[in-house]
Amino acid sequence: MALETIASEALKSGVPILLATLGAIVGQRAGVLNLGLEGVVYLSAAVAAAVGPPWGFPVAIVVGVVYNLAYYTLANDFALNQILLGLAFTMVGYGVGSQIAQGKIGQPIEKYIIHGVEAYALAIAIALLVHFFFKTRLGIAVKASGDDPPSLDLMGVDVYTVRKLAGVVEGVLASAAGGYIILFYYGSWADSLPMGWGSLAVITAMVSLWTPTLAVGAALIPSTFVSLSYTLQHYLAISPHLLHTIPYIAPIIALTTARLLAKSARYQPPKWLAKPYVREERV
Amino acid sequence: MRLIQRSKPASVYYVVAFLSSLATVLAAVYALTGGADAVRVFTNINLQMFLRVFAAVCVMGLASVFSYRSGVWNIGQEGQAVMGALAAIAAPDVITALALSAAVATGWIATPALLRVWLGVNEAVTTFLTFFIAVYIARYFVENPLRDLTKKGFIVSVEAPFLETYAALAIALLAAVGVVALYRARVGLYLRLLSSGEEVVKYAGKSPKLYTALALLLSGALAGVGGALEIMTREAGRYMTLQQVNTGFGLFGISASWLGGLNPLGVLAASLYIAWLYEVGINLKTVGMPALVANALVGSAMVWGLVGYVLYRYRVVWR
Repeated sequence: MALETIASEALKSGVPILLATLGAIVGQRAGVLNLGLEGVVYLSAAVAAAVGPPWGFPVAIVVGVVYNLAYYTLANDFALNQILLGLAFTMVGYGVGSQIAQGKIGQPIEKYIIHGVEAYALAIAIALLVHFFFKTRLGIAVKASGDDPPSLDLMGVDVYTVRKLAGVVEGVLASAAGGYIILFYYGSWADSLPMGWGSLAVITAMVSLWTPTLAVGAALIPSTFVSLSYTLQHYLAISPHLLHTIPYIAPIIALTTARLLAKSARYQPPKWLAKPYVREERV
Repeated sequence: MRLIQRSKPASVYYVVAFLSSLATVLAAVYALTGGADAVRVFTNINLQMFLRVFAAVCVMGLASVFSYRSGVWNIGQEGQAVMGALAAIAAPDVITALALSAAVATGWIATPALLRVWLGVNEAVTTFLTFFIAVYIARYFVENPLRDLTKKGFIVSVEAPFLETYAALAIALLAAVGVVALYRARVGLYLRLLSSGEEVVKYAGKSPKLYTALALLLSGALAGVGGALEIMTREAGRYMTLQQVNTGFGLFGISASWLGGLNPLGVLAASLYIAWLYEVGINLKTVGMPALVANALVGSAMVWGLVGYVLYRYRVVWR
């Protein structure tokens, strides 16, 4: 019984992590280490909570995409430091998000009933879509913009446009995750509920070695431990605070293992990850 | 629009960035308060609190300098500060508290540092995640081993030893002088070289791995001391509660380091500004604005600092 609950919960909470991870994979493959993803997930979740069904989900996606695109423009066209700008976008996302959803604290939000297996199957289908996206012309341009943007530029492809398109894809996936967290998973709002999901996705993208098909498995690592940490509280006499650290420690261990195992060149990080590309600058 | 690399970096743009940030803050506060309370919000300053915040922000800013000046990305200062503050709470006296906070925070950042050096695991992501872990660990300590059992009905930790504000200021200044001196020494030269690329350090005959680890460890240690200074200089309430384990000073420090041009002396100047922003945030709270507005103001200061860095290196050409 307990095992079944854990599995079902892990699949349900795995869906937003997988979606956001796929977004992070697209972004990081394009060479952008977007830590503002946390803010995008948070803000779109807040918007979904504030608007509520049925329009909450689409509105959340629109807001999330616009927010993510603002990050991509500042981080690429204006070459602001990707990592710290991401931190700023996370802070602003927390601030604005908790403000706009303030009225929904303690109020139940009508929740769509979903089943873990089916929801995750749908998310896997999206993972396959992303997998095939990387085979398209645009997908190859996205990968090139992360591995060798000067060459991509020489080929006559505008790196900044490619990265912004990747940012739109990432924004759609991440804000879908944010909307899901409130409208499908929790069905309520509290300031701390959508926290941490985006950051977990950023690290899960690295655990899955920037490969959408591997992300299907990797996304279940944090979600399994999240549901495990809640279930274990009923059985173990360990402080819940210590149990809550497990979903954050597990991905770090997983990332270490992944880096130890993946020696082949195919699974190396994008070479320009987190480096700004400024045209004609000597490297 | 495009960016063209300057042949010579232009430091004047940090001043421009600072003035832009100031303008942003003035405009935002006027808009939020409707102008009526604005003057009071800007000028109502508690000198004692201003100085103690300045000392803590300054040390946190120097911690950030250690990291960013070497081109490594510690963004978990907040988590290291939490661990430092926790160590200060556990310590019996001020000297032990300072030593323990530096040691514990160094240990805290050791995992991301070693993973980076050995396996190339991105340190930005791991330091960010260890912040979340630090918060839960601190809550555990507040609730169990370090709980003050004499305060019935409240879950708070025991109190940290008290440190006079002027002592904290002395420590902050000493740290700034120390960083300047270190950057003049040979070790500091290699630390700074690291930002030009690992190859540069390698061809200078040194191990880039060693210096990467050193930059991160120094950054973590100082951030821990910053966290300890913050909690020990409080007039009252030198404890943590379950809800309030972190204080946001990590973000303050990051903002100060970028507005200060990643220069130890620049950080001193920028910390004055950030400490003033903190006072403005508190005053805003008293006129009924939410606490997060203060964070947003500091966040905007950080973005202006990043803009300053870009303008310092590049010329913007519109066409």
